[in-house]
Amino acid sequence: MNQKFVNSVFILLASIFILLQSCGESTENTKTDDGAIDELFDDASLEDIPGDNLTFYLIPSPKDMFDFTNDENLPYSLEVLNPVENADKYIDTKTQELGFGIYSADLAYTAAFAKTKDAIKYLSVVRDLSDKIGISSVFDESLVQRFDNVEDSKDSLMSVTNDTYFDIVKHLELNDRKSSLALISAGGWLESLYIVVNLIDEYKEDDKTIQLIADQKNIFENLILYLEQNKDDENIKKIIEDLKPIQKIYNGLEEVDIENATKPEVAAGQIIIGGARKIVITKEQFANLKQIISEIRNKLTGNNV
Amino acid sequence: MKIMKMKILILMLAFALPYTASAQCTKKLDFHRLRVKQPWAYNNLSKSATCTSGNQYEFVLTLTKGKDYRIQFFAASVFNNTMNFKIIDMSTQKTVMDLPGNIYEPGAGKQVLTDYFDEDRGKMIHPYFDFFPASTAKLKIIIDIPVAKQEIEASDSYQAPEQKNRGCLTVLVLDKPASGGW
Repeated sequence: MNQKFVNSVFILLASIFILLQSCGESTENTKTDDGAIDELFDDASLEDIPGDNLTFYLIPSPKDMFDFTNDENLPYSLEVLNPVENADKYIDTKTQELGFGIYSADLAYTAAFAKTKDAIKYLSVVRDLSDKIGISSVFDESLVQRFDNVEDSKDSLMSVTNDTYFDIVKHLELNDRKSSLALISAGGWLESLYIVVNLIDEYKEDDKTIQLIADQKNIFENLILYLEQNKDDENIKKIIEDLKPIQKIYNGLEEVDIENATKPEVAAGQIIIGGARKIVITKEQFANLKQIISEIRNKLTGNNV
Repeated sequence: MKIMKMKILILMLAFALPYTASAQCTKKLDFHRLRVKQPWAYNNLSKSATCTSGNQYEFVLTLTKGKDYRIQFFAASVFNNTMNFKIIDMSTQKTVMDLPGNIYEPGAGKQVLTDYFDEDRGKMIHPYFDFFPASTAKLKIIIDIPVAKQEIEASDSYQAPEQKNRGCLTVLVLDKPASGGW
């Protein structure tokens, strides 16, 4: 009787497993010319599995921040990057995962300026850290070869860097490493903002990059809410505390109506969003933000500046 | 002893199942990413998540001035496209989109999930929604997935049971430099 029961349960579980595998791999798809596809994964058999996240706070990658740098003629400077030697100082999970995010942003910055030699140097650090945080499988031979063969062009380097970032996120999500992903995102965002604020020598009221930094208030709010979803993790709790002074400055930024807001001319079918209000950062607030961000970033990276 | 082993095995599988589902969704996102065509580029704000009918999901994201954005949605066919999509511009608190996943006669800007035939282009198109941020704006996408009623003839004395489905829901975000510049 017992043996029969065990056999039945085994067959049932094996069937569920095979069903899940087959749903993922071989269901026939209906594809349109536009590249759309009917989702491959269907599962009507799973009910009441707890743990569904109902709100997703989406954080941009460092690449999005640096997309604007070339337009604004911001200078390229190795001095604003975290020195590669610092990587040896990261010996615990928090500093290694944060460091991984920080160096990923540095890599994205070198790629945005098509500095292949520097990018390869930073890729090497990112790769070493990936080994320490258990995601080295992302850096397989084909990816390393792509970096070796990369042309000296922004598009080529950006494409490989962006694919790498996607693969890292994918790997962490596949392995349900939510807090690692949250720490890496925090490190990436902090370093991206640190780089941009430190490339600006002088505050100008209507400068696009200054506005971009003020607009980071929205992204920072999302980042904090995202971190708070994972605050059961001690390292996340600590980083939320670390970022509090930045939160204080961003909370102090005012949102004002845009004077003489005119309806922009857009392509057919485009939906206009925003445009009525904008976030304003004053000269003093910018100086404070620059100082606070530098302090936090240098503390977290182990830079004695 | 054997029963104890079985319990452990069942427990392990119960934990493994949601992760397997989540892994499948991540692979779906990769699938769509690799099919993005120029001039659009994949944006890392994209997300694919495991969702269950009977729930309302929210995706909060910031679209930056200086770029044009295109958002597309994909849902597992187990949901039968019966869900509702709402997008709120948080900077103005205005609802900028409120559409069902599916309608009887699909067309551009009428539904979110069902492909339609585009006369001008002469091909099937998956619905897409283009956004122009006149200033950097935060969007909240609200996706409501109702619980499906099982297709059993209902009578006065019998209520059809509700059926909960589970599958992937993908929010695909693409971008390109704004055609009108900053």
